[in-house]
Amino acid sequence: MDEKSNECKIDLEEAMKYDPLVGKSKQKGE
Amino acid sequence: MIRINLFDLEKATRTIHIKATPKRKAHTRVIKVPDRVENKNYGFIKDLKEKRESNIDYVKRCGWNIEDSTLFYSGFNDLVEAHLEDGKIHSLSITKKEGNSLSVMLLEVNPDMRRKGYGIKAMKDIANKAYSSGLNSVALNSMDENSDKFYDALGMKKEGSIIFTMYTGDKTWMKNLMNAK
Repeated sequence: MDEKSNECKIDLEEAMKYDPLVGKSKQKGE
Repeated sequence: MIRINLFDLEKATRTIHIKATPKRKAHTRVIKVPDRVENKNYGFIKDLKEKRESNIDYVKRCGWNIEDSTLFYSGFNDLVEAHLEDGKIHSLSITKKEGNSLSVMLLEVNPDMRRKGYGIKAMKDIANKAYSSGLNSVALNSMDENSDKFYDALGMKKEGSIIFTMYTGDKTWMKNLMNAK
């Protein structure tokens, strides 16, 4: 988010370098 | 005095009967429910799988790497949604409506399909779901630095960090992401 212009800048090329992970992982076998 | 022509009445009755038959046939075709939803790239796995197939068998059949998954390796309940491309699951997620916001509870890209932009496709699906449901925002807690960089690049607003980093995206963000190419 660009605080000055209050617009969200989306950089898909940059986003492609990473993968999202949301949530709390449990230890396998729990 | 009312005269009733029984011959005409009988003809009318027959006419109604003949017209009704094709309508009944058409109605039968409309209510027939297919065993699975075709050409759908995002939805609850319970709605996408074959009738007699278990949720876990469905995600395995569609290429989800259970062995290497961090979040989705067991307990595939009916809240899990699949994001697909060409019949293969690229991401799994669980979202929940909380007030005027769509909270992303869990989201993971298939370990076999990482760094190919599928996270963006999954977030577009989620933004589209929130926008089309008339919700004002999407909210989530990012788990690690790698994910933080992803959500920063997607233009989400960083709200703060305690254990995880909280991100939100408003309606403008949803529209921008849906249209981003």
